[in-house]
Amino acid sequence: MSEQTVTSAAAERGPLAMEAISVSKDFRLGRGQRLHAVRDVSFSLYRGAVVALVGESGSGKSTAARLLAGQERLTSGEIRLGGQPVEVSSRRAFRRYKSQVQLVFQDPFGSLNPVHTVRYHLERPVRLHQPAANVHTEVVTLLEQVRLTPAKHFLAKYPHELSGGQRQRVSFARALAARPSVLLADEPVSMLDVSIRLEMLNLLDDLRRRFRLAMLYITHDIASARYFADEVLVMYAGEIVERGPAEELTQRPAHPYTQLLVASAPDPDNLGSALRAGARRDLTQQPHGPGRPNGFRNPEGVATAGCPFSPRCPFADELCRREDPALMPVAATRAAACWHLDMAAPEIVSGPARGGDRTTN
Amino acid sequence: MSAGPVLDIRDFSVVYRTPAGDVRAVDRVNLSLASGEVVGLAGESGSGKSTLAYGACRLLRAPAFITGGSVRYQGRRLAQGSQATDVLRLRPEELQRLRWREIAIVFQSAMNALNPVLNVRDQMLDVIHAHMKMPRDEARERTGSLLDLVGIPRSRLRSYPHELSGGMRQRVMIAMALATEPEIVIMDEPTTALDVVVQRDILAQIVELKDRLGFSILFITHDLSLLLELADRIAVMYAGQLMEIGTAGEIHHEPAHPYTMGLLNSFPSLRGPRRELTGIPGSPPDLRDRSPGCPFLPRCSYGTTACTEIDMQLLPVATSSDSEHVTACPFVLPGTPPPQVSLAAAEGRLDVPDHLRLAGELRTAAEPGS
Repeated sequence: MSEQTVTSAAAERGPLAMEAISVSKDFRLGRGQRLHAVRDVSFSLYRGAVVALVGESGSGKSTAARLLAGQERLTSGEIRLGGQPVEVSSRRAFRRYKSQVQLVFQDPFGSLNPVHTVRYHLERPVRLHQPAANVHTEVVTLLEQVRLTPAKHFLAKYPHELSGGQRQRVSFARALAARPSVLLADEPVSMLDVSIRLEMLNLLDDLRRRFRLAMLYITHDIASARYFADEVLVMYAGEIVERGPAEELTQRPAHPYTQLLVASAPDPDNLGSALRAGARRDLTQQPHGPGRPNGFRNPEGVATAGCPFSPRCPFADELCRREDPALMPVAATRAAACWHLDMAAPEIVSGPARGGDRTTN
Repeated sequence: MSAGPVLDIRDFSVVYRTPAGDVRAVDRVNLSLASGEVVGLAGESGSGKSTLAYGACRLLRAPAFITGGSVRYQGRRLAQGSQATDVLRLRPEELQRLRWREIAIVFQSAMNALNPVLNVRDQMLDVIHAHMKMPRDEARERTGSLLDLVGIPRSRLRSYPHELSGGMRQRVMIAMALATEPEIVIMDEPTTALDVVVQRDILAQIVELKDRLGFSILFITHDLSLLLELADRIAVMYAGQLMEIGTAGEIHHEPAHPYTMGLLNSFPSLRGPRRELTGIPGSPPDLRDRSPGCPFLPRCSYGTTACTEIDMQLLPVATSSDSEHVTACPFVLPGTPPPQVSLAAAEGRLDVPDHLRLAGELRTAAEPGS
């Protein structure tokens, strides 16, 4: 497939930190079946910038994060950190890699060990990754950085004594203990209350700025990506179907799936018009039928060619069912993988785009 | 039928008895639900919204105790004449007739609420036989038509919960709640675990079913943005007490309580211009030792010393034309801009860190090194 030809909207923030180049991951399911969890995905992370990976559950976002974190072996493709291919085969190499790239998980209840104190959770990574440091001062500094103050108040606490937000702060602190350059945040706020989320995103933003972290922010909430990220990548059935600057992409989505995502977000300014005034009408007017990603849950279907979104797409035709479109640039920093962008987003694909694509119509 | 509410909760209080003292999870709450109405109950986790709903159906067990109030239910079937039933006084067998038949609940986590070793049909039959007198054949037919109702193919009747996607499981839960044609359906965060696209499908379906079958909905969620679109009226709960009740439009455009304003300023919007987001600094209070006055005071940017003495009572918003729009805050009016520095913080009583006020335009500030 074609290499990415668009510039990342995150690139202007800082130097390149990490790259995923045509990364794929298959899972074997037995009986010769394979699940293509991540398919030919390419993107880059830059110091001091946030790239958001948006998609529904099962779209492969978390698998992508685990690949970048070195926790899964790639089926094909390459990951580069600071220009060098990543090598995590030995224990020592993996540890060196981990001191650069850290992962924060979604569930602060599950990711902290209930039998250990906050102090224990933070001392371990400090000892591992910063052997020269004064462990106690470093741990206190970490707690202050994530604003768990006064730090001494929290050191002896167990996870169950903390609120969800405080727990997530501890996992941020734990990730920072390694002094990483890349932070992969897998749905860091989706388990938290709406009122706490903003505070946590602001904290993450502050940490990004302070340590010039290259951040991958994985979420299913495209609205938070609008506010928080520089570049947004929309993932569907293991593929990136659209990418672009956060504000532009969320305000004028090009790919039919992104359009569906945006249309599905709760819209308080649209009081009652859609949901309350008549759900029936809402359902029938919606051009997109309900359904699962094409062949994703039944892996036999994956082998068949075609756009993964075609079964739900209002613009799908023979071409879509036959050939999977690659990401095609629609602007200097935007690309979408769709054969019919001229129909889906005529205002974005202006001028003499690609007339040849519609010959099968 | 009579114009009175189907469910009328008055002065309702629930405590959790703990060795360290009573936790007042629900404190003198008044809330009513009219026939065919969708009432949204919004609040953070731990604010008591689920306790209120389960308590009203007497589904709580020790250490939770209902310490006062009344819950009057007046459905079309149960009420003889105009006599309303006090749920809190029902005998166990009467309670069993009330539950599910009159008031059904869609629980939060469909994964845990469905029995993993029964297939969909058997779980549904179980409900129908437990709560209704219905011949076996008819009941079997009914399971099929219920799945039709929520848009799941009948072939799925033989499926076990683990064979269904999250959205399907949640739909099965809804179908089961509707199996006995209840008057009231309580939905406790029914779509929280789902993707936005699936969530929207299910909400649309819920509203459609409500219009067709004519039940009322008490919808519990921490996501106020969802309620603004879905609910007729919204009740905002904090620390076991109601802070504000109003129509969705009033809550959205003229929020009267600082907590409601904070909630509205917490979620990023996808449409329209980028707003400044302030969120709500701090975390909910410990409900064990309730000091007098407003529980929201430590987090409130409007707070004054007078707030420590107020009696938390829902009174009509002075500037609102609708007398049903009530707020627990007697000081703040809709549209009042927050003071630059929290008064309470200025008095040195509270420690409000300055970072809690980051602009919604997160990314415009000049940054070093880029």
